[in-house]
Amino acid sequence: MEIIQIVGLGLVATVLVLVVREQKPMFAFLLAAFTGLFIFLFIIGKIEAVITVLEQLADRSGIPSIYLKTILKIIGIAYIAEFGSQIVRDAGQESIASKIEFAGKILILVLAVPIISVIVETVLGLLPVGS
Amino acid sequence: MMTWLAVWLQQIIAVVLLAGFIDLLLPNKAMQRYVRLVAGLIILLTILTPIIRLLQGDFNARLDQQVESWVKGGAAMQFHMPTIEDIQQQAKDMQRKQQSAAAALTEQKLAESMKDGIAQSTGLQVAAVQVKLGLNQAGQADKIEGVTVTLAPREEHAEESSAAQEAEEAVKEVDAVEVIVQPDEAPGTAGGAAEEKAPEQAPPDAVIQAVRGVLQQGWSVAPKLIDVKVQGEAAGTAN
Repeated sequence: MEIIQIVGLGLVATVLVLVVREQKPMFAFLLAAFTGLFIFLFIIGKIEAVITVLEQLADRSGIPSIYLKTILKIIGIAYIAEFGSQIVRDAGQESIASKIEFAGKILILVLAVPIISVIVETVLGLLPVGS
Repeated sequence: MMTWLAVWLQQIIAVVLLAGFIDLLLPNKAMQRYVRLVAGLIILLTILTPIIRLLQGDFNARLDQQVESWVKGGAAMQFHMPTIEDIQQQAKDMQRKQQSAAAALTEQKLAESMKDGIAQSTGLQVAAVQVKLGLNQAGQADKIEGVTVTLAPREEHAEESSAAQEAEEAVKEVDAVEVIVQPDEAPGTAGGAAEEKAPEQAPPDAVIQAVRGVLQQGWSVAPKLIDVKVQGEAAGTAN
């Protein structure tokens, strides 16, 4: 029943933040940030089970491990970028948050470069005059 | 055939499942388009597998290799803060370069002045002088390790050689003489070269002595470090 713990923690943190914000906005922000961090770390351990299942699936079906690695990296990048950008957005720095998201997008695309190059080579190889 | 088809279909299904999974896992809409692009590419690649294999053999190894090199390249591109050791290393390298350049310049100048000196005091025509400087531990050139003097051959040599006995004049007329001063380190090569040429055109002792004398007086070069040669072995005074 981790969900109850997490929701409880979130509610308590929210109330505290609302109370503290009047006096010290700085501490309100810190509280929010650390609550988010805690929930993130708390739940990231659970994701291991999911990843194990995914790995088994990949193993059994015989898809190259490189695909799974790429996909997992993409998920990781997406989550971390999202997490960071939301904390920054909470602090009111909208522009920095959007830069973080931008970096996340770029890194995801970078992961696709080897795959794209293999596909392009194949397509070029298909064309009789291509080579 | 059927097993191959089954494996292929299995792969496609697995990849599509994976793609659906990450679509669910994604945190927000903004990333979704990008992730879908990559997932779509992976699915495409899986579907194309038989064709790729037909055309290019095993592409998985190549894909692995490409990813590897890409990741490594990315790591190399990352900004690397130089440490103090790196900076000191660079400083040492630059110092060494500078010193070797300075040594080369010194060698050149010494060779020029030796050439002039020999020409002036013995009247011999000197084709080239090579000076080799030795480096001390600090990397600075501090001693002469070898001098190679190459004397230009004389056209009139044949006639003059008859007159050669006469004296200084004769000495001047001597066929081009190469004075090679070899450094101690290379006695073998020097010896070999000298022996090869020796029968044909070893410069007369008088010439060698004269050149060595000049160099010893003017630049305090030990005579054993001085090698004297005649230029144009092929042109051959012997012929």
